Order: sequence, then C-alpha cells, then structure tokens
Amino acid sequence: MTRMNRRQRQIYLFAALVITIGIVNGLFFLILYQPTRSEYFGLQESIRRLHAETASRLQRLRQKEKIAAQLETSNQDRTSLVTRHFIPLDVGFVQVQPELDRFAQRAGVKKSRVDESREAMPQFGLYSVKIKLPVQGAYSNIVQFIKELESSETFYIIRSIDVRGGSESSFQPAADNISLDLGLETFFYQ
Amino acid sequence: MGQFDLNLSTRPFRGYRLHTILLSLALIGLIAASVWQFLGFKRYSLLASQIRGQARNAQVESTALGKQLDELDAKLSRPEAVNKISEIQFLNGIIARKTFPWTRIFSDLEELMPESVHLVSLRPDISENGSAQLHIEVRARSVQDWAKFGAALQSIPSFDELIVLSEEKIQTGKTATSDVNFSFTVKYHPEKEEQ
Repeated sequence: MTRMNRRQRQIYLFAALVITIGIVNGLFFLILYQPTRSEYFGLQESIRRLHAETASRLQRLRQKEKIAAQLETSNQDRTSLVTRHFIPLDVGFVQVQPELDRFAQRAGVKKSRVDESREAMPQFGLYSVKIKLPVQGAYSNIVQFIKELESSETFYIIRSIDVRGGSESSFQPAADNISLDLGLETFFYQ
Repeated sequence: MGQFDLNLSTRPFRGYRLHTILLSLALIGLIAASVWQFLGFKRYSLLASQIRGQARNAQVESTALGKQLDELDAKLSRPEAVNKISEIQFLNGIIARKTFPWTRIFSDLEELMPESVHLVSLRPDISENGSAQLHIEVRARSVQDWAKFGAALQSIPSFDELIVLSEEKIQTGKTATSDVNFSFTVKYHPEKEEQ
C-alpha cells in the first residue's frame, strides 16, 4: 500500500473543499437563487397581465353599464323618438301624402303617382312603409327636394335613387329636367 | 557551513504547483459565484416581496371587475333585456339611415363626375356606425370617361374600395353606341370628410 505524502494529502483536501463549495453553490442556485428569480419575473409578468386584463374588463364594464343605463331610460327614449319622428298608424298615409306634396311644392319639383306599401307585421311596434316616389324637375330643385326630406321632422329615409330615361335625363348640375324615382321608407306606430 | 543537496525520500516528489494553481482559481471562481448568487438571491427576494402586494391587489381588482361583469352579463342576458337591446339596435339603425348625408354625397358627385358620365342609380347600405357601401350605376360616354370618374372618386379619402360589378355596352335600337353602363360599389366614410 502506497502512503500519501503530506503535499499530496493537502492537495486532495483542497480539491475536496473546492468540490464541496461547488456542490453547495449548485444547490444554492437550484434551491434558492433560481426559484426566487423566477418568482420575481413571474410576479412581474402576472402584474402586467392582470393590469391588461383589468383595463379590458373595465372597458367592457363601462360599455355594459352604458347599455344598462340606456335600458333604464329606453322606454322613455323610444316613446319620445317614435311620437316625434314617426306617424301614428291611424293617421298613416293621410299625413304622408300632404307632407310629400308640400315638400315637392316648396322645392319646385313635379311629383306624379306615389306607390306606397306597408308591411303587414310590425317590428318592435313599428310598421315599415315603403314609398316609391317619381319626381321631375331641374337638378337644383331635385336636390332641394332631397334636402326637404333630410330635414323633415318625420323620418323619410331615402333608400334609393333611380334616374329615369338614361342619357336623355342626365343627373348633372346643368340638367334642367331630370326624372327620377326615389325609394323612401318611413314608419307608422301603433 | 557547507550546503547539502540531499534528497532522503524513497522516490522523487511530484510537482503539485499546477494542481494548486488550478484549484485556487476554481476556489476563487466559486467564491465569486457564491457572492454573486447570494447578492442576486437577496436582491430578487427584496424585489419579489416589494411587488407581491401589488400582484395581490391587481388580482383582487381583476377578480372584482370580473364579478361585476358577470352580474351585468346576467342582467343583460335576461330575455326582456335582450329584446330591448335588439330594439335599441333597430332604432339606432333607423337613425343612422336617416342621418345619411345625401346632400353631401351629391355635392361630391357634382365635383367629381365629368359631364360625359351620368348617374343612373344610387343605393346605400348603411351600417350602424354611419359608414356605408354605395351601390352606384352610371352611364359613361366611353370607358376612359368612366376611368376618369373612378380615379377621381378614389382620390377622396371618404371613398374607398371601389369594386366594379358589371360593365355593359349600350345599344340604342339597331345601332351600337360607345356608351357604357357601369355598376359598382364603393365604401363611403362620412367621418373622413369631416376631418
């Protein structure tokens, strides 16, 4: 059996010390350092995510609160909108015809036969009424008639504009005789 | 006294200097790593303890908001509320269609439409936010005239995404003319005009 000399023993002891410190270091890294570091970055990420989530939830909450508030006053708003801008069913076409005549007269356009059709079933208590209105006049008068419809207290929604007669009846500012069919929509309420 | 150069060991000593240097370097490295790890551990522990409360508060706030949202959702998903919301959307749709700026469109068309192009029909599909898709039919003296009008229309920010649906040569009686009917859709954004 070979005996170790003093220097050799010292070297082995030194190496054992270095290895022990290395192992302790590794364990420290795995048990304390890395988990603490991960926890810190995890918390940071979680705060960022929660803040984003909170902001999005807050926005959705505001929207829903607004809808809930609208619901609270919706009956009142509906009544005010409907009675002010729509036509009672019992009055119906009796109001529509003279009103359109008045607009045509004021704008200086000729209005011929008016076709009207009312939907049989109401939607949310409103009967949609489609009107086909042929008008004839100079470009400026036609535009004036459309302005009358736009600014009318009663809602007359323009659905379509069809120019009749093609190039003979051109829809141009210089044109002095345009014939067109206006597709309108209004609503009757019960 | 004289100098003796005498080795009494039974075999020669091995040189341990290199081992000692390497082990010393490893020890220094390990000590440095230990210090770095310890300081890092202390720093991250402190930082984590500082933001732990913040994370808890953010969690509590988010959960509370979620609960409020659930309550409101439950309230708004009752049949009478759903029906009311549909009615509000329906009425908002009517208001959006009523407020569609027809006269402004006419004034745009007056400026953009060459004399050789005539409007045949115009029909808007209006969304709740006020933007619309216009279905337009025009008659042009030639394809070039139409192209001029199309380019002018797209040069205005409030009009975009022009899509031609059909192109038809017009025939009057037995004689063919160079007139062409174009049917197309274009998106209209009134809010861009206001800007």
